[in-house]
Amino acid sequence: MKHVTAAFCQYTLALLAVLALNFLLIHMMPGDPLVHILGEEGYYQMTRQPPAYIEKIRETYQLNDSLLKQFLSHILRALQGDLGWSHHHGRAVIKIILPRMGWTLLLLIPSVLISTMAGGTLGALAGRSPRGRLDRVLTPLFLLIYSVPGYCLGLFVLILAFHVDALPMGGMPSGITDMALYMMMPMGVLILHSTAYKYMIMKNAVLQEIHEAYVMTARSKGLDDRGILFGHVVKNALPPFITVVAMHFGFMMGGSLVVEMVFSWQGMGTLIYDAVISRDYPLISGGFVIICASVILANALADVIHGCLDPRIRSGNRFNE
Amino acid sequence: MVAWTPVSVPEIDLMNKHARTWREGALILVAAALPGVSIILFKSLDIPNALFSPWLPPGNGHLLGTNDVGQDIFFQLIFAGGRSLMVGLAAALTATLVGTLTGCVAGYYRGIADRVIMGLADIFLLIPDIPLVIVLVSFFEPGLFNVIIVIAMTSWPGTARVVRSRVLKIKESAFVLNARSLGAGDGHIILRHILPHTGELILAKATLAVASAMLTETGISFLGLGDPCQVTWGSMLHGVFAGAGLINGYWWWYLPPVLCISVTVMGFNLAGFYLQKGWGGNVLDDLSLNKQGRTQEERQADDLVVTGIAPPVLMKKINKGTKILAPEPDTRNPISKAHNPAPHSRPPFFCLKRPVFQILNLGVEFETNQKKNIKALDGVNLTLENGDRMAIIGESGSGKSVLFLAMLGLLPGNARISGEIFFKGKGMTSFSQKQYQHIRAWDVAYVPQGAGNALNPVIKVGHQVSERMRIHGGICKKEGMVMAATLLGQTGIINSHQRVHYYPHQFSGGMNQRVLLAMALAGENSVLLADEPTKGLDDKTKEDVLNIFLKFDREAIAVVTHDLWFARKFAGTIVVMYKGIILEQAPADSFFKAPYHPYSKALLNALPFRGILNPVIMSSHNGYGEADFGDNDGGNGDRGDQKDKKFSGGCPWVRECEHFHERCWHMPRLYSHNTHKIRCWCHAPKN
Repeated sequence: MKHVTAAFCQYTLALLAVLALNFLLIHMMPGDPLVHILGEEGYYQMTRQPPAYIEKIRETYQLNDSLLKQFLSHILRALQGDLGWSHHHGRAVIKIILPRMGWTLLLLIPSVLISTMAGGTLGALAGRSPRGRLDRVLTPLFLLIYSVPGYCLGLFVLILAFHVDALPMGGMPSGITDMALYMMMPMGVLILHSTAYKYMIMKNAVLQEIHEAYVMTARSKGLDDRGILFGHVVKNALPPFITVVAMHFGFMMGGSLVVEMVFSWQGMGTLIYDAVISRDYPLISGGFVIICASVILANALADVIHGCLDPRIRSGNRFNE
Repeated sequence: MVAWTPVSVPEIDLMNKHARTWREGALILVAAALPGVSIILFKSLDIPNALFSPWLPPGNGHLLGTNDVGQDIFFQLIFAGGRSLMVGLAAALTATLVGTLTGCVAGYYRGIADRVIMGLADIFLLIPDIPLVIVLVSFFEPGLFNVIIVIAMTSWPGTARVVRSRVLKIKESAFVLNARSLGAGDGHIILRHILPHTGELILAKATLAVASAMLTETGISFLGLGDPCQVTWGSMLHGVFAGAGLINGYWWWYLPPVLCISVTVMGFNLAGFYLQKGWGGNVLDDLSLNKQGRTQEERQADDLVVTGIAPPVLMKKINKGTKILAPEPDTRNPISKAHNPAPHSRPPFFCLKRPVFQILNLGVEFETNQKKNIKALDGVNLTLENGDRMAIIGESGSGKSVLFLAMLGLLPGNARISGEIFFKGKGMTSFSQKQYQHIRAWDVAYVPQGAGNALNPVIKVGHQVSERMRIHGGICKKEGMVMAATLLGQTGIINSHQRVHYYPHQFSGGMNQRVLLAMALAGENSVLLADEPTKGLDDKTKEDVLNIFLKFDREAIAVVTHDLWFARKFAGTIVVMYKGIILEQAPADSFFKAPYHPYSKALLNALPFRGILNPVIMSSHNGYGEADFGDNDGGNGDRGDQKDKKFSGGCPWVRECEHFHERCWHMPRLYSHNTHKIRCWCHAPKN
């Protein structure tokens, strides 16, 4: 229980930190905070209004109150899902973000799952016999893929698709049927890139575990290599692996923003990009908060899975440093 | 950790490490110098801003052609490369400095500073870097300086965590305690003692940080959110993407930056991984999940290479015909049998002695990184017959455990075997892995050493106990649990029906030892090899374990132990090993009354021995027997090249022996005397 409470506190703190950063950016930047609250477009619309109206808007955003009070109400509003109003889109930020986030997660979650399974399995097999055939082929290959940025990989795939002319070059699916066609390329890039990383992590984890004494015990029971690998070694390597996968989720999120741009996928990446171009500050910071919240949530989820996989964490006496 | 793990020679290792670090360091320095040089060079030449006609393909006076506004791509590439590298290096340097500082403070001072810093680090680790950079860059004015700061902000926690865990380790080491006892201040200790030992790690981390910083920077610039006035590789790609260079097939425009980014990032990644001892080395380090205390040898695992084939003559010595005379124990129904263990250790049906294990002239060497091999076993001849209860005693490192592992085919990859082991007449050294697995599954059960580590921490003990029967005997998980409960009950674990669902960490050391015993029982195997079953147990638990052993009804049991009390109570035969050589083999009664070999006497005096009088005085032996194995010279054969180094070829006990004689520089044979077999010149025939 102690571990659960500590983890919960940590994630809550992280969320608060993100909100605080958001608040700081709005209020501590030089110039009128209203620019950052309304966005550039909204601000210019407002400046054409009479001064009494401007004062009224200042009142609604509590800009005349003390900073602490503003901070608290900022957090309260954010927790209620009120992330501001986008004048560029003419809608509430959260209403713009949520469907876009859905599209991003549609790409991201299957990629995370598939790359975790593929990278985990391949890494475990390669870690079982270092310098074996699988290791010698996959390790340089994945090192190469890992070093090529995701969007460069995307560009290559795009060029390939352009010449082959089999898949749509980008954009959004119009129905369920062509969903797979449109998703294939961006998802393929994401999967390839993160499989490379997860392969490395799993291989390393298995390499560390394979010399533990319990492996000898399992061998002395006459188990074959595959049984030992998946029945014993991977079971031990999995909890730390899951943690790394969760930490990588944030990285993948950032990567998917850029990859979305390459394939003009209408997710968070293109949304935030457009928001930056049009100086739609509430949308930028709102998007940032939502992205961070989803990453934090993924990590919290991984912690829960970690606890389920490792009985030592469940009974709370793992951390003995 | 098993005791026989070969050790590397530290000095040579350290020298290699330094050479390697310098080579990598030089590489990084060159990389760091490049951007500066290129910027100064090209700024003065003002080449990147010169305009030519657009979309020129490579050649035509432009090495890589020109882009959409007619800039020379080759010069742009070098110029942008300098800047990309500079951003990467600057961000990595800042992150490493901050991370090292905070890591040192957190690890050295602990307490509140540690909590605050690590809490902050955890939070920063959770914030994805590209979104953060996008937000900050959009709020501040876009510029490379801001990008550097933001990348540094998101990548310091990794370094801080690694440095902290290393500092924690070093802080407890003897030389730091020494320095502190001499009155050195905190600053001195950190600067002179701790930082030098984290240097390599920090360098590795910094190298990897350059790679990830460059990835982030190019990503941001590719989005067009970098500094619009400063060309980097990422913004070149942005130009291609925005200028439809992709669709029009201007490959000379997009290919060079992509290749440059990939090669540079890979270079830094490779260097970083290399510095972390092999790629992927300690990637988990920043989560402080890596286990400590592993040597390079342990990380390596090659295939088992077996040399030496049994001479065909030896095969005749084993009488296969006797096999049918003794009924095989019933292996089909483990539960019913487990209910009725035989009351005493000598089951009545083994009236005919026949060898179960016959070890002939076995030698095991471990190959190390250096030329010098470590000899673990040397010319071991041993026969384990059915009905035997054998205890192998000797100091730590005398090769007892290695002997068992060799009998099970479990030696690590760097072991080289000579001689032959016969199991029920079959030569084992030429076995395939499949055959070994069959032997381990059905014939030879093994109780591993070290109850704490030998069990898998994330699997319920019940499943571990019944695993052998689940996999080989085809019973289901539920039946397995019932069986495990019965077996655990037999080994004296009360309430075993509940406790089969426990995990090893919920058990004490003694209970885990019982679990290991139950695991060996589960297979109904005919031979049991137990490695130090009483290690680290209190006297009461030792007695319990002894009683379990006495109840075992296996064909043959061999135990490695330090515990002479246990050996005396349990064993019928005692084998004394020293430095991989069998010095004496004798019936237990006679051995404990009067051991013949000088080493055995010393051993009996030195090792823990509860309630039994130590035979200090040497009894006089006058009779001399025949040498037991006529062909025992083989053990000396591979020592031929070392004969000039007298010590290594002679009796291993020669330095300490009170009966030292000139001939002790040569290895004596194993002489038979009464019921003893002794490897000592004192008992050699007098001719």
